Parts: sequence; structure tokens; C-alpha cells
Amino acid sequence: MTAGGLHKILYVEDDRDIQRIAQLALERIGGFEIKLCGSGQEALAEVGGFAPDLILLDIMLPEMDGLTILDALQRDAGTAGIPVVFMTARVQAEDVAEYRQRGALDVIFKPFDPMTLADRLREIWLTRQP
Amino acid sequence: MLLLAAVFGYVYQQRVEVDNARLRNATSVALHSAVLSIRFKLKEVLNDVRVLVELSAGSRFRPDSLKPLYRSLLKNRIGVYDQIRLLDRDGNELIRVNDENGRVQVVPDDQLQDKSDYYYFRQARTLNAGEILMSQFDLNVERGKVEVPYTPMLRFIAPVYVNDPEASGFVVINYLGTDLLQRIRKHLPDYTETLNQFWMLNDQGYWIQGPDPEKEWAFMFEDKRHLTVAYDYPELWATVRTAPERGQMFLNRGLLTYVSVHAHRLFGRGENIVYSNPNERWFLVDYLTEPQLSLRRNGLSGDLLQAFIAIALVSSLLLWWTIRSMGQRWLEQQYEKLFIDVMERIPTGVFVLDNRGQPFYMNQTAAAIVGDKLAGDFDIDALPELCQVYREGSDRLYPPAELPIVKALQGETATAYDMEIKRADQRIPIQVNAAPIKDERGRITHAVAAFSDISRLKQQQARIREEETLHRALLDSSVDAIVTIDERGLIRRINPALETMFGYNGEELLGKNVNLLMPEPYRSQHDGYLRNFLETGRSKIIGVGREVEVRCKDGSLIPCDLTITEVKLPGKHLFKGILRDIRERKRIEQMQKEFIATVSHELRTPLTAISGSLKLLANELSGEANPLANELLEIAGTNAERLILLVNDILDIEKLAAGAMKFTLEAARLSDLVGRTVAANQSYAEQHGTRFELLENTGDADVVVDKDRFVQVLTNLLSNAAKFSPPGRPVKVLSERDGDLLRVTVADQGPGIPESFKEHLFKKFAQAEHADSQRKGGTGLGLYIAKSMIERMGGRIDYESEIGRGSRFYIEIPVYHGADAKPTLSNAGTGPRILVCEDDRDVAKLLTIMLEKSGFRADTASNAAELRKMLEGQDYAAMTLDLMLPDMHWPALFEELRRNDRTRHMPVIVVSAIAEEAKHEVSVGAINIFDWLSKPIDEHRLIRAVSEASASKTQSEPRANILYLDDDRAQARKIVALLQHRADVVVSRSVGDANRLLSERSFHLIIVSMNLPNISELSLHPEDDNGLRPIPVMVVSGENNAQKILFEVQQISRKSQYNDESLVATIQRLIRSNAK
Repeated sequence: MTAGGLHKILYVEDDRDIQRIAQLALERIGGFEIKLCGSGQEALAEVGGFAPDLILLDIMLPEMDGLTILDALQRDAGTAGIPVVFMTARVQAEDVAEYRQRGALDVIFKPFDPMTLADRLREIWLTRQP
Repeated sequence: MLLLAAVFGYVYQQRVEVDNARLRNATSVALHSAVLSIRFKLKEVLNDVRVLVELSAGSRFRPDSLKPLYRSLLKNRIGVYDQIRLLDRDGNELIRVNDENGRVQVVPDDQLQDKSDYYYFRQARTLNAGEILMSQFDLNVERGKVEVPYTPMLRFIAPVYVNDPEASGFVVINYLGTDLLQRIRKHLPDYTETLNQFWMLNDQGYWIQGPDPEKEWAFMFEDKRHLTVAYDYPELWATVRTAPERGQMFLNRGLLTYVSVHAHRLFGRGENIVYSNPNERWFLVDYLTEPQLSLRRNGLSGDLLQAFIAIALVSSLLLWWTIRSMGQRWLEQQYEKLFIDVMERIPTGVFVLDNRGQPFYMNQTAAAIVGDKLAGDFDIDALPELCQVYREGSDRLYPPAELPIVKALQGETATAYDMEIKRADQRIPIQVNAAPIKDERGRITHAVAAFSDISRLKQQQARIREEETLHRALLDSSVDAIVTIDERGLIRRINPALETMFGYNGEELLGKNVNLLMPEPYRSQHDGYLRNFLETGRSKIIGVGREVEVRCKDGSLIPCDLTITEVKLPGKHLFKGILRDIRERKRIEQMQKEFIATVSHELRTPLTAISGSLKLLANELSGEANPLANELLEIAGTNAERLILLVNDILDIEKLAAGAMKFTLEAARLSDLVGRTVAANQSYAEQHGTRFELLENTGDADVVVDKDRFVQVLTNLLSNAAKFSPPGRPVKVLSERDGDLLRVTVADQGPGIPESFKEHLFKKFAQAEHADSQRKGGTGLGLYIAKSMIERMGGRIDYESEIGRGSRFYIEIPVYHGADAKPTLSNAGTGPRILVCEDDRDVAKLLTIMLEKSGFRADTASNAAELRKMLEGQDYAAMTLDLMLPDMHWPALFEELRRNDRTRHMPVIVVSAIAEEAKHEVSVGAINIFDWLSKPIDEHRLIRAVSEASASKTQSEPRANILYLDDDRAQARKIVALLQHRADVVVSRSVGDANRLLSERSFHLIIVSMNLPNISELSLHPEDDNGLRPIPVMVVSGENNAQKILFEVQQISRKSQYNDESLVATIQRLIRSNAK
């Protein structure tokens, strides 16, 4: 991970509508390169090849939830260094505290504003530990 | 004894109609006691006569020497005797002393009269020595004429013999008839207030006292001789003259009771009385007129009084018996009268049998209860049948052998509660106490039984039993567990629900300490709580209720609502606890909570898509000139936002519940907030056909709030008011200042809120659950959120409502006085340092703001662990303390503070929502609590308490570093111990060591002992580390040689001059003077 910046984002989301909105927000408005995944398995399969700068993870996913994916990513030395940001509708304070404690770089609440999502991610990106 | 027998005999002999038995008895006894009273008085007169006879004879009949004697006797008998005279043997008065209107007059010799013609003198001449003549009861006659006003008179005459076969003269005492009549009247009812009449007739049937004064004493007048009783009431006279000594008859429908008194029966034979009229006889008549009779009949209801009176009576009877046997006549008379009075008036029946089992006495109450069945000779075994005495609740006659009075005749003291007397088809339950009466030698002479009508008692008992049964049934059928404990905490009673709920059976619990139902730590604390309550009467649970966990037999815990009621009974102090299993409620609450979380998530997902799409679409279309599309997009966007807000609302509740809601407190002008909110919601009001009218007079008052949250709360109140207002009725919004409080009121003219709904109003889902009929949309969460939020901002919310008139919701929040709106961080001020211990950050911040603008420095600790750390690192002038810290129960925290020397005396200001409750649970003096403040926080009170507290603390402040230089170890130890609460003392035993310490660190004070060698080598810099001020030095010395010291010394003292207190005081003074 060079200090170059945020370009490639792996986005995991099972809801197709939200997937689409986020894609538009990140690609068209944010100008990022996006890899969309509909499930945890897909994400773990794709992450090596895509080599994202950041992974944006939904929490409530069928079969494998966001936290499980995070664990898997952290166990794999090849992916352990990739910052993970959760984007979730589960916004209870205690949940959020847990996400951070488990290693999420930050948490974005749904509903999110597609017009500012990209900027938000850039801000978060800057706070990562090198 | 005879006398008593006569009394009882008199009373008892009567056999008359049932209805009048009681009256007759009462009157007879009254009349008879009147007779007794007369008799005693007349005996006194006879005695006086005899005394006079003796003295007159002894003085050899010399009038001059006798006059003073006569005079003094009369003086002692004013109102009783009219005259006392001495006549010579021819009837001439030798001495005459008169009662002239209360003054004794000795009549001069020239006014003395010749009485030889008077009938009583003529009769007296025939008297033998020792005999006394009693005249007729008639009127006084002076010089041949009846004295006016009438003076009724009884004269007693006795001859005086002085060594002579013929009487030398006569002693005459005129006994006033008025005294006699008064004595009678005294024993009768007070006729002035009743329609009773007292009549008195003589043996000829003439009125002595009667209804018509004109007809009284008619026999004294030639022209009235025909006016006897027979003239008016021939039937009365016909009855009375031939009747035995007492009787009763109806006269003009009134009841007439009479006693006849034969004069010759008044006195015993030994008295030697001769009567002017051998037939002298008086009829004493009590006439109860018809109206009075009915009145009495109506009032004839046996007042059920304390049954124990009966026992008292038995003993008084015994006492009377004892006293009687002492043979003291005076006492005898008094008691006799008292006894009869008491007996006849008490509402308890008294019945006396002699030792042959024959009736001896019965008072009027007894007569009223048993009727007139017990009279004459009778067989005691027949008593149950005669009086219809039954065993309670059965048709069997009471066995005679078990009658208390029968037992009493055998020497037992017996009681029966199971008797019923049948009267006119009614069973009257009675209670009987009986006891034997014994003479001096222990022989049973009589048996007395006291009995009372206990119908009311029985009824009450039945009612109590019924209630008890009902109560018991309620307890038994209750689904709540109920446990009753005594003041030692031991279980006295449980209901079946308790057994099934917690898996115990009765024997395992009864008599055991109730704490076995409790988990730790309550288990070990319970006895203490109970003791504390019994000592102080203070509890935070009794009458309040709380949630507890109950330990089941299998060790599992069941959450329960516990309500405790204190039950105080004579000699008993019980506590009743009702436990309601709330597992189901808890489960529902949990489900509800999860439901909210899930719903909020599920709603957010589509909302994310909708609002995201709309924003992107708006972005796509932003360049295009399609106004309608843009307008529609805006509408869709706004409503999507509103939906998001609603979801947020739901979530707010969870956040509030979790204490996770963030409040950004800052000072804000209330009028701005209110004005802005009203303006923003005006269109909402219009949608509901109403409008908001703002009346604002708070001026430039500020509050410290989270502005967004405050606006959210006010918006909620406004939208509620708009929703519930009838169209066209404006909602008034009023903000006003009330002292240190600002109040914003939102008043609608809607339907109002029913009183029954009041307690639910600020709860979750209030509207949804309880006001279906008026449902106006909304989540039912708004007021709950509003209340929680406003309380977190230090305010309160409440309402007043009147059905049909509308509701007034108001928010109260303290005025923020600081000019500086921005809170400053600690270390800002220079004033005393205060520790704010408060787990809610926003409240902590509020407290900090309040303290700092009053010049205090405030540090915060958010839990007990932090508190400990802060207290170690820093000394505080005072501390504000929240009682609900997340990591420690406050009682334990208090205990910790108390055990620590550094905090035991630290002033504490409790600032807590549970301050009021906790206040009652703290034992006095545990720690130094200065004040108890509830939330919302009253800023003035807080500042005042903190100021006072810190001032009190400053007196022993600051904690200083002291260097103590002495080679006397014992002395050093003493100083360290003495100062341990106030200062850290470093002990050094040599000047070299002290110099090293002084170079390493700074001290507030150096104490030096003059005994130390090389003291002049002490290297004291003239200034301390900060280069500001010399360190004060205190020299303590055995000798007064301090002048040799080379450095500045502020205090020289001899060790011997000091006691501990003054030493400490001096040290503190030095430290403080240095600090200034």
C-alpha cells in the first residue's frame, strides 16, 4: 500500500438496489474503481485478484456476515493490511463499539448520502495507520 | 352484713312484670338507698340527743353552762337542725338555740316560750329514761301558727333525769325536714331534667311532697283536711295503703314505683324510740310519667361494653366484702352506697347466689337479660331451663354443672363464652364470669356471676372471621407470591403461589430468615436493612416497590417486582412482601427491544435505497429545465428524510436506554430556540388547521442544552399540540422566567388527557397502547424521548390537563447565568479544586460549567475507578458524587470513602437522581455529606453547597509536604501520626540527609528540633524551588536557644509548650501563610 491514495474499493453488499446506488456514488461521483460482491464468499474469492485499497463491508449479509468476513480477511496475511470500513444499518452504539474494537477503520451509517459518500471515505482513508 | 342482706333482700324480693323489672329494681334500690341514708342520718340525730341528755344531766341541769354546748352543736349542724332546746319538766324553754339563716342564735331568756301545750311535750312527759320520742313529720308551729314558709320538721325529745324519779327536763332537737327530703332526693334521678316526679306521702295519705304544693301538708290545716292522695288518686291510695313495703303500678299510663317506710322499722329495737304517731309511715314514690317512660323504654338497650368490667366487678365485690368484714361502719356506709350505685348502673349483669344456691341479688342489667325468672325458691339445676340458657349454636340447654356460677359455688373461678340466652325467640350470646365469695375463714358464703350481652362482640368476631377467610382465600388464590415476615426477618406466613413459584414447600420456609430467598449481596445485607428500618423508620423500599431477583430452591433466580407493606399490630410488627414474577414482562421487553432494533434496520435498508436514488436522480436532473420533475423529486426527498427521522426516533429510544445518546451541551438563548422551533413548525400547524401563537418574555436568558435535542423536544410538543387541537383553536406557546427556572409551555385547546392516562403518558408506546380512540398517528415514543432528553439536559417536562379544556405541556430548565457561553476546560479557574464524579458525560459537563463559572476548578471522574485514581493524585476541596456509577454500588463506595483517611472528611455533595431515596439510607456521619441534590440540578444550590463545603475543607487545607528534622525517633513518629491526615511528613535524622532532601524536592514547611547537632549547617536557600518565597521553618526546642539560628525562623516553640492540637494549628497556620 503506497501512500498514493484511495483508488480501488471492494464493496460487499447483498441488496442490489443499494449496491447500485453505492456503485454510482463511488464510481460516477467518487471516481473510484469498484469491485462489487454480493456475498462474503465472493468477496474473499475476489479480494486477492482485485487487490483493493479499501474494503467497504455491509454487516447484515446472508450466510457470512460482515464481522466474519473481517475475521477471515484479518487471518489472511495477504489481506490483513487492507483497511475495512463497515457500512451498516445496525447503528446501535454497542454494535459500533464492537466493530471498531474488532478492527474496522470506521463505520458509515445507512442511509448514507451518495453525494458525499466518496468524500467521506477519503476522509476515513486518511485516518488509517500506515 | 344484715344491712347488706336487707339491701339485697329488698332489691331482690321483687317479683313483678318483666317489662318493669328493671325500672322497679332501679327505683327500689334508689328509694331504698334513700331510706338507708335517712336512717343513718336519723341515727346521728338520736346520737346527738343522747349526748345532749348525758351532758345536760352531767352539768346538773345548769342552763348557763349548757348554752355554749348547745350553741356549738347547732353550729355543727347548720342546715340539719333548726333548733336545739332544753325544756324544764313543765315545758318551759330553758335554752333555745336557733338557726337564723345559717347563723346560730341563742334566744334571750325573755323570749323563751312555754311549750307545755305541744303534743310532743305532752307525750314526752310519759317517757322513761333512755327513751326518745320521735314526733310526727309535720310543719313547725310557732306560737300556735304554722310557720311560713313551711318548715317541715321532725322533733326528737328525750327526758333528762338528774337523781330524781321524775324527769328534770327535756332535750329537744328539731331536725329539719328539708334535710330529710334532700337526702332522699339525692338518691333519686335528677328530676329537674326529666319528667320523673318524686312524691312523698304519710300514713294518712297526705302529701308531704307532691305534684301540687298547695296540697302538701294538708293535715296541718283545718280547711285542707280532705286533700289527701285519695282525693286525686283514689286507686293509688287504695293500692298503696294495703300494699306490702314496695310495689309498682301504672298511673295515668306512667309508671309509679313506691316504697313504704315504717318509722318503727327504721331503727332497731335497741334504739328505744317512742313514736308520736305509732303508725308513722312514709311512702316514697317515684313517678315516671308516660312520656318519660317511653323515652326510657326506647333507651333500653344494653350497651355492650367491655366484658372485662365484669371481672372488675367481681373484684370490687370481693373488696367490698373484705372492707365490710373490717367492721368499719363508716366505710361500710360509703361502700354500700357506692356499691349499689355502681351495681345498678353498670351495663353488666350481676347475679349473686347464696351458698344454698338461692338468689341473693341481681342488678337491673341482670334483670333485663334474664328477665324475672329467678325469684323465690328455685332449683339451680333448673336455671338453664328457667332462663332458657343454651350452648352456643346448639339447641341443647346449657348443662347446669357447667354453669360458671355453679362452679363458683364449688370454689372455682369460672368463665363461659359459649352461652346464649333465648329471649323472645332471639338468642343473645352472653359471656359469664363467676367467682366464689368467701368469709374470713374461707367458707364459701356466696357466688357472684357477672355477665354481659356480647352480641356485638360476636358479630364483630364473625365479621373478622369472615374477612379473615376472605383474605386467606385471596392470599391462597393469588398468583403473586406473598410472604409475611416479622421484625427479625423470619418468615411467618407464605401463600401457595410462593411455594410453586420458587419451588419451596412451606416447612422449608416458615420460621426461616427471609434472606434465604435472596441472592447475594442482598442476602447478607437484609438483616442490616431491616434493623436500620426498625431503628430509623426509614426505608426506600416500603411502599415504593422495586425489581428484585428471588433465589429459587434450585438456585436459579427469578426477576420479580417486590412490593412491601408494613403491618403494625399491637405487639407485632410485620412486613408483607408481594412478589410478582416478571419473567414474562422481561421477555416481552427484550423482544420489544430486539424488535425495535430489527425494524429500524429493516426500514433503513429500503430507505437507504430510496433516499440514495432520489439524491442521485436529483443530481442527474440538476442541469435540466424540468421544474415539475424537480418539484416532485424534492417532495419525495423531503419525505424520505422524514421517514429517516422517524426511524432515528425509534432508535433514539434505544440509545437513551443504553445511555449512549450524545449530547452536545452549549449555552443558547432560549428565545432563539423557541422562536426558531415555532417558526419551523408553523406550516405543520397549518396542515392541522391551527397555528402557534408565541408569547415570549424570557428576554436574554440562556440555557445550557443540546440545541438540536432541545428543538427536537419542543417540536414534539408542538406537533402533538397541533395534532390534538380542534381546527381554528390556536396553540399558545409561552416561555417565561420563574426565578432561576425557564419554562416553555405549549397549551392546546384539545380534548385533554384523562387522569387515568397520566402515569402512562411519558412511557414508551403510550399512545399506541392507551389511546386507541384518539389515535392521531405518531409512534407513541415522542414524549418518552422528550422526557428522557430534557432530563438529560438538566430540565424536566410535565403537563397539566383538563378534560374538554385542553392540555398544557411545559419544559422547565435552569437559567444559565454565565456570560461566557462556551464552557471552559478545567484548570481554567484558580479557585478551590472540585472533583465531579458523574458517569454521564453531559451531566458532568454541565456540572463543570456551573462550577467553573463560579470560579471553581473542576476535574471529572466518570466511575469509581477513575475516582480512586483522581483522589490519589490530587487533593480536592470537595466532591460532587453521582450515586449511580457504573462500576460500584454507592453504599460500597461510601464505605470505601469512609475507610480512607483522606476522604473520610472530604465534603461530598451528592448529585443524583436517587438522592432523595438514598438520603434516608445513609447512616449519619458515615462520610461528610454536605448536601443532597436531585436532578435536574439546581445551580444555585449546587454552588452554595460547593462553596460552603470547600470553605470548610480549606480550613484544613492544603495537604502539605513537611520535612521533619529530629534524631528523636519517638518524637518523629508522634509528629507523623499527628499530621497524617493533613500533611505528608518526611523524617530526616541528620542535617546532611535533610540537605540532600531539600535539594531534591520542595517542602511547604520545615520543622527542626534544636537538639540536633550541626544544625547551623542546614542549607536552607532563602527561596523555595519556585523562587518565590522562603520556606517557613518552625523550630521546636527543649531550651530557649533559638536566637543562634542563622536562617529565617517563623516560629520557635518549646516542645513542652505544645499539646497536639496547638501544634497542628500552628503548622497549618504556617503552611497557609506561605501559600498566600
